Amino acid sequence: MSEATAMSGVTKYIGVSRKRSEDPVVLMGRAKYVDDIALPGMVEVAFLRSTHAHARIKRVDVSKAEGHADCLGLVTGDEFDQGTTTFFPGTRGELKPVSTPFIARDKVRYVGEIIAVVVAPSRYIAEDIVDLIEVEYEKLPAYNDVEEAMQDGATPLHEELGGNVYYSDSYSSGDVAKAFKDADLVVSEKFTTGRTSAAPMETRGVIAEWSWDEKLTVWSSTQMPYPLRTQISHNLGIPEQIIRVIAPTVGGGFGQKAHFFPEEFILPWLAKRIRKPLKWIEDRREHLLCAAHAKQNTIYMEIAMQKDGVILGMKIKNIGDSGAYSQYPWSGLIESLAANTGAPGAFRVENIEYETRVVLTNKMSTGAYRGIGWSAGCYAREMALTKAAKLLDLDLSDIYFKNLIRSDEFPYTTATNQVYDSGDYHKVLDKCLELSDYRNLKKHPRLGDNGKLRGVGCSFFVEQTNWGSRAAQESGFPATLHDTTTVEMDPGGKVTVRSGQFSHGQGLRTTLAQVAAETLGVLIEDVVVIDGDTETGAYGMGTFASRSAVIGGGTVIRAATDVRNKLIKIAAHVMEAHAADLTIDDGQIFVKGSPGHSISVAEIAHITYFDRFRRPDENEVEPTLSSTRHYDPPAAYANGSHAVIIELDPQLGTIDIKRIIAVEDCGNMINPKIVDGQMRGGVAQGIGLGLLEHLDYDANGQLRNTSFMDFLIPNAMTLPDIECAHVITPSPYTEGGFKGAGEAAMLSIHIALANAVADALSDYGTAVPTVTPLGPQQIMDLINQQAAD
Amino acid sequence: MSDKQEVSLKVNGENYHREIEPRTLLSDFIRHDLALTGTHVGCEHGICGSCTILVDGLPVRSCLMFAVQAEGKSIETVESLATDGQLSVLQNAFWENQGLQCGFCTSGILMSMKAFLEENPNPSREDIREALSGNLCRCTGYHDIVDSVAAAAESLTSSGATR
Repeated sequence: MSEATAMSGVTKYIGVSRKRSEDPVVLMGRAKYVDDIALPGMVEVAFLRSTHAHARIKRVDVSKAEGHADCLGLVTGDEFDQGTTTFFPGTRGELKPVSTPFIARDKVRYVGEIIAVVVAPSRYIAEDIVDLIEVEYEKLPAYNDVEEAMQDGATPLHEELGGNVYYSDSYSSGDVAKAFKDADLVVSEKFTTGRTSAAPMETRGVIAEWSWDEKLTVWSSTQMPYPLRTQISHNLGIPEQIIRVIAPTVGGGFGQKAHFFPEEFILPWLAKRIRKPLKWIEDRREHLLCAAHAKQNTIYMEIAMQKDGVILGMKIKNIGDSGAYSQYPWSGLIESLAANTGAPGAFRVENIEYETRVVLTNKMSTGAYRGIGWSAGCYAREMALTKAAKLLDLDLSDIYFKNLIRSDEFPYTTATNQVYDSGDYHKVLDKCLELSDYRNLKKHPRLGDNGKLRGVGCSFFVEQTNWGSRAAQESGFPATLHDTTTVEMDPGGKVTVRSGQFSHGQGLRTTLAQVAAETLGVLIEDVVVIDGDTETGAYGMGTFASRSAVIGGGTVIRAATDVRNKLIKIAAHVMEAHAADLTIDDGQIFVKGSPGHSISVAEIAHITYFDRFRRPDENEVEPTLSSTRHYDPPAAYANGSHAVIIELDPQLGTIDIKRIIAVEDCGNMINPKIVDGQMRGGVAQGIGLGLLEHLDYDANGQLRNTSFMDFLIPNAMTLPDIECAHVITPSPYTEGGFKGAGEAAMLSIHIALANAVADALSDYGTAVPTVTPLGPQQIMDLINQQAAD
Repeated sequence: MSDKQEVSLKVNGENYHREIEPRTLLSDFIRHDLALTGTHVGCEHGICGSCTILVDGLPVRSCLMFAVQAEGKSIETVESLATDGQLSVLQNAFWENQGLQCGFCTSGILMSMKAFLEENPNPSREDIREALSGNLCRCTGYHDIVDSVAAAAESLTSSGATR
């Protein structure tokens, strides 16, 4: 086992904001996303999707459709009856397996579920043919609300499960009863967080082709090419050796594309029969209906407080809205269970009790989206603390400072058994409050001359990063994740990094090249990073859960170190020097302190490949300059703080965001500019979550907003500039001392926003926001509720 | 329906003449019939702006136009910006300022901003945000895009160049 390599401070390539090597081809419009790929003879697929939320399928009449002159293929669930089951053993509570058919057969469980597949020369014609299919439904009661769906008499969505609760657990640590008995104040609130979609600008898409030599190639806009290959093999019974999965340029994922969807199995299966390349590109309406949803939970939060602001204990019931299925592979637990296991957050809370329930409803299933269940879980905890602050006549920041884990307490094991590796929470919070002028703003009157109310809100978060096996375990998901990278040097001394991670906007081809160049001592211009193609990469789980800086960086460090050591051994032989005296810099190998007398890496590479007389004996040193290494890191916990300053119009309930400050501590940074980009992107999505986004299902399970016209995501005028600052406490446990940084704001910014609202309304009373998003109606409700009290 | 209609138009300086179904969207025509895939389609509802191109110099959402409506028009897409593999001033400003992450919305933004800067060579950050508000981006949070456009504006005015 390798010890952590601490890279402190800025080095030649680490900690440097290099421009991204990925960008020129994208800027010129040459990058290929899945819909940009054209194969000879390619035809297109359209799906017939259910128009009812819960119904038995009595009859599907395809006769007119099949009769269409351009119908190249039509498949229903009778012919393709495969599916998956979402289950993993070893969970704390009872997890029932939930089966998902790829094509619905006897019943449909959400609007948008696939009933039939049509193949035609173009999408236009395929949609014409879909319109000719007739379906007779027998409606069943549809559930939109978890508390209704989980009742004993409710109609089960999956008959074999008996009811609609498929996961139940409870956990207790410390003496919760005493904590609540001793409390000076118990805050008790119900929180309901809205449903949203990650909604990347590129929708999903799949191409599948069976080639003349009986090989299957699948292109998918996915975050996980290797696991997708494994799953296609597993679910369709095709040997993995003959499957190639390619994720081309992918236009955003945010976790939504880190799932396996029915379309990714239907097209490969169908491609074998049709014997033409098949393409399906999701349109935006399909996307908002049928790509994994997220964030909707009902949380009952109780916090026991001492009057000086110390948190004595927490009691939580988290009811997750899983939608109609348990989204494959993470399951519906990715919201509620992660929320509960992360419930203590940055605070010293020893007494905690939680219950988790995951419930089926007649909506699209929910899955992982940046911040997973932490977005809702943190919101519930933090807004309860804001309420406590109001009732105790304290500021929220007072409560923070009283309860934050201190820098001398790390490594810190929380009451839910998560091991926080390092941090300086007080320093980060201080920095945020100072940059935002928080304390000063709090002293000023809220009502401005323009009739608007000013508010400032802050928040603090701890983010679990590096989703390898141990992080997954600490969040309640027993799983083994497998990640490798291959580093190889060619005869010309140039380096190829074959990564098991997969960048879909994060610039990993640049950051991993930075790590490789730094480790090997070569010029970064001589490093190329390849990812996304299972034929040319190395097995890895892909990029999601803020894992790739550590796992990508860590596997590169290990593999590049092996190649570096090999180069030095061979050079020592060639130069008749001691290996311990040699170093590599800028592609030259020399005795430390004597850079004038050097031999180039290129020359050593050439000798290694082609000069058996000058290289050492093959039995002493094998003449290969390549290494594949694995890394399954411990969890590393990043942290940070946000502040939001708003003006709120109490007549209209509208919010104008004036300033946003974001402070991040993600350990050693490889490329600070890229980290800033992640911070800012996360802030925008978090503001969307907190202010705008709500997928609005009606009581019959019909989704009312399926376009960007009425499902609102932030535009350039929603937010001001996002001011970023950094604190660095490296992880003592990870290679490079790196931590992840991707999700950050989704655990925090919507809380800072809600706190700004609570602050703006402080003259009105002590009510705090308990829902997301905070649209004008919700703000007016809060104002009117306080007026009534 | 397979009654086709002829359309003649200029794209990035080249003349094209095709026979297509009248219901073919201009975005699909550019991308698939002309194989110019730099223009992307994010919603097909005319809201996200990813498909923005210039039609006779004006920014247009190509998903809201039928290809046959472009008869006789001169269209510019993202592929027209770079010259011989050299990025334009605007494209370079995006590269320098990390104005993109996944890149899917980028072509639409480049075309919108090209037209905007030609009309407004000295915009404030607020002006830029307003001009950008018709282009949705999910990755960047817009800040770095505003930086990129501001930097491009400065480079263009100081160098006297127009693109």
